[in-house]
Amino acid sequence: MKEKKLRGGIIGFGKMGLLHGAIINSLPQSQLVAICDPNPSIQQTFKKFASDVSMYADYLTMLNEANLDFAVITTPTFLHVPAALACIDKKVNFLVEKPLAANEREARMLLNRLKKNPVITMVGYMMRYMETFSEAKKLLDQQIVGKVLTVNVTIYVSQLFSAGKGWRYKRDQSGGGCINTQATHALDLLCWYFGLPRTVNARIRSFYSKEVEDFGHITFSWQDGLFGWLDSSWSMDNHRLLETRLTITGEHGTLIVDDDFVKVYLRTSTKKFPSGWTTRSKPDLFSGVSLDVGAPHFARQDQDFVNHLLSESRPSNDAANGYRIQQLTTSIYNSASHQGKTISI
Amino acid sequence: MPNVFPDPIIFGHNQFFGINHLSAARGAETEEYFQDPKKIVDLIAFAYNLGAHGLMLSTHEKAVAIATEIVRRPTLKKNLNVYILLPYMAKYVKKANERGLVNMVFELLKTGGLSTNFRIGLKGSVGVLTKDPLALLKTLIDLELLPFKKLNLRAVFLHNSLTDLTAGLKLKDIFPFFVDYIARKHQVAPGFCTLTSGLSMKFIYESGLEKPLIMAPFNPAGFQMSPSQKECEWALKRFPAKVIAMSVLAAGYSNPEKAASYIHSLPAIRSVIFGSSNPQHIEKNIATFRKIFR
Repeated sequence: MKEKKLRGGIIGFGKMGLLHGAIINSLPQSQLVAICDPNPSIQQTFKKFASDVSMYADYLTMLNEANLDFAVITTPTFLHVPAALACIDKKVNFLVEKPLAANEREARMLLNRLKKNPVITMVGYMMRYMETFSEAKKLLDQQIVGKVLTVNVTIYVSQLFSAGKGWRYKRDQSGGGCINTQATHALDLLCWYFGLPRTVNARIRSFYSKEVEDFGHITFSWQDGLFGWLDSSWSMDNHRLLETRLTITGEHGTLIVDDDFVKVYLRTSTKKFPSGWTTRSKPDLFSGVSLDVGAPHFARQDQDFVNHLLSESRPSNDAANGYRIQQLTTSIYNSASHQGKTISI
Repeated sequence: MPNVFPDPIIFGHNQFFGINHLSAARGAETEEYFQDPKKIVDLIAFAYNLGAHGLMLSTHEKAVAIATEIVRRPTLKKNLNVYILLPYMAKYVKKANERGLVNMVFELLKTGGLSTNFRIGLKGSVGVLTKDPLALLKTLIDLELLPFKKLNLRAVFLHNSLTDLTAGLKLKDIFPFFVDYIARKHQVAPGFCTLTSGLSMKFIYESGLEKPLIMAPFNPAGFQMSPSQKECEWALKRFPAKVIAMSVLAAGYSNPEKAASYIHSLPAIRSVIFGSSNPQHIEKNIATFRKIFR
């Protein structure tokens, strides 16, 4: 007999809801059984084409009726915490899109509730599942460049060149602009590679947007002397897709990683690596996924989440980690509102 | 349905739009070089003269200028077989990020540079359209195809994101609808692009579509082949289809001989698509693949 599949539901059926819904429905160990979205057009469309999936207008009813093993929360950011709290109350595990919350206070409330009533959680910082960035993590864990001295990061996309409309551009709903909605991916990588920074200084600039930043520049320092900077914008020309690059200098050489490759330059050879350049590109590192929509790393993340549900284990990219990123973001905005003053975290 | 056998060698479009699956930076440089549509069509003509009688075009904004330039050249206008891939997804993803998914659709229908004729052709108001998803899809397809109608259209492919979303969500009726609408209304062969052929070819088959036109990655490295190279090869044997292999060179990672010998080992594949901005590479690739399709 076939093993029973885990039952998944989607809260908020926009672009990311569609993507996660299709992926969890394609994984061997899970299926999509319910969707909730307040928009009647979305409800009607999916009733028509996906009659096996139950459609709900609100998540409380869905959580009560659909008998879910897990939910994927893909609402606008300001609704993440209320939806997550409802999941906790119903003992439903959840994967929530990043960032965890629109502000640190709500994130802390969520974390406190989780401490009392734990469920398995994950936050959608998907760059960890991109083959190049996960390869860089492996190489850094092997101390490939020796002691890490500096790191710099750029994260750019050509997205916004006039005032944007919708929740992403309202501070109380999104929690911020290019830093909170995009650069947090790179902040997660930095914390994953090097731990939470000790201090930050930040400058932000709004030009196209009224309430949120379009440009941000942040400097960091860590406990052990490591320091670095991150430059972020969604209004940068000639970046068709979101592109992230980290340049990491160490005592033995340099590691450069972006969406396309990992390159290591070593001044002298080591046991595992020759001196000079070693490059690993996406085709070297590619592995297939259950469904390649958007990019393969979304499916890798959803698979990892389902694996943790099956083994009842806690992933490292859980809500507690999401809260740390939120703390970091709060400190960044705090510094920016005080002309780049140093903020300790 | 128009029974189309795809050209053995189809020239790809990615390099013209700054798309490079190996390097975004290289993609942006190539896009800079191809700012002038005349330069683009010169390269298309070069590939055509060497035997690439097909051209794939995404419905990118820039493709409109390419289409206009092709129409100006009589030989290409008459003989070049054009395969359309729609929609250009990055445009919609960005718009959805800016406006939200539902607002995006509303705004697209309200404005989107629609011609007067097209507006007249729009049946019912925007509000009515959003209540009827198929009418909405028809309108979006018409809108995307409008600038390319003067070309010698051979097939229209559904973008891989939409094919794979539909297959992942197991949405009934979408594939049969697409096939029927493209064939009847636009009198062109419908096709499906997929990055998950192991799954999508099965679902297309289960939707009752026989011998569909498929475009999917097949290369010796297994790059972009999901769920796995093995499952994609299995689907190729199990579900009869007319298959165009894409990413054959794994974004420039495999050499043409190795790629051609792999494609040759898969009898279901009778056609390849590749793009390049380098005339020497184009010449070499076309010559290599022509040998296996003799």
